[in-house]
Amino acid sequence: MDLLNTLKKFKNIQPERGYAEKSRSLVLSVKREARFNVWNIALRNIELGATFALAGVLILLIVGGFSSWEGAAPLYISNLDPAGLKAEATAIDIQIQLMNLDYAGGAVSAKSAESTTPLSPAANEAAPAAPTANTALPNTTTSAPISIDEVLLKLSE
Amino acid sequence: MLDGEEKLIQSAIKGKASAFGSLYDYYQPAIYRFVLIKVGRREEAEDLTHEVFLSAWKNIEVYKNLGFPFSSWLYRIARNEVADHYRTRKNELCLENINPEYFVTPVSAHIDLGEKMEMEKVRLAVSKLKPEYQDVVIMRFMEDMPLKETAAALDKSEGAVKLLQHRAIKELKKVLV
Repeated sequence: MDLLNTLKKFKNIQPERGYAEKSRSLVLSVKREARFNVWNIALRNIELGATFALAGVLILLIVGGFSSWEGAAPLYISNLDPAGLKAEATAIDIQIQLMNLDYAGGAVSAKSAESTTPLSPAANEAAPAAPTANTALPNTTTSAPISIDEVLLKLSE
Repeated sequence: MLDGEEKLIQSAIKGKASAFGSLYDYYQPAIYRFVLIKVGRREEAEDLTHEVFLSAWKNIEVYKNLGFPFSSWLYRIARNEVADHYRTRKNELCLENINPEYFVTPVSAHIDLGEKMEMEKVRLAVSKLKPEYQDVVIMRFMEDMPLKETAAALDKSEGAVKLLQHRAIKELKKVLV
């Protein structure tokens, strides 16, 4: 066997045409990425710097921003129920009214007691009983536990 | 060397796909043969050749700084691809375990069956040589590559390549006997 001659025959080996065409088109369809040059490096550094700066600003906002935000605007928490808060506030107002009512009731009873004294001496005997009768309503409201609804009902009457 | 190769390379570096296409058309068969003789299986040779040119296209800007012929650069990539291939598939690729029908020598029709068998015998003998002997046999005797290009592709001096090819042929004859 002529070895060198046989080795030369290998040059006749060819890839399949279909494969070659497909491979060629696939290779050439790949978009080449830009290599590093001075401009690219500078651009990448700017990008990196901007990324870090933005991240820093974001962290500052998250960590330290809440306190200043609290002062600038009311803190809004989703769990807070504004309607419930309003109802509570109204209830407090009612309690104050009740207290005033109590005070007014006492005053009314005192006034009624005062007013009854000069009318007739005979009525003096009944005087201790009279205020009780007049102030029966307020006294019961303050001493005995009473619901807000009942008080409101009575007030509306 | 391809006519106007320098211009084509410069155009390809600038991103002109058609210029790289011309380089592909010219060098692809040689790289395919190189890979096929080393790996022995057509499908794998096709895949590896594709990878070689894909890698070359992606990294063609690197080429200009190395200062040796384009073909040598392609052979270097091909050698690396084949080495990686054997590294990753070392356990799977054992010549004795492979069905002979996978060995393909798709030569042109004018070569008769006797010649094909002879070629297959030589190819098997080449595959039993050390990788650097295989490289030098393929480049110098099958592809008729100039000594300078072969030296650049193998990253050796021209003297070293001469010595290597002498030993490779001697070894090949020993295997064939």
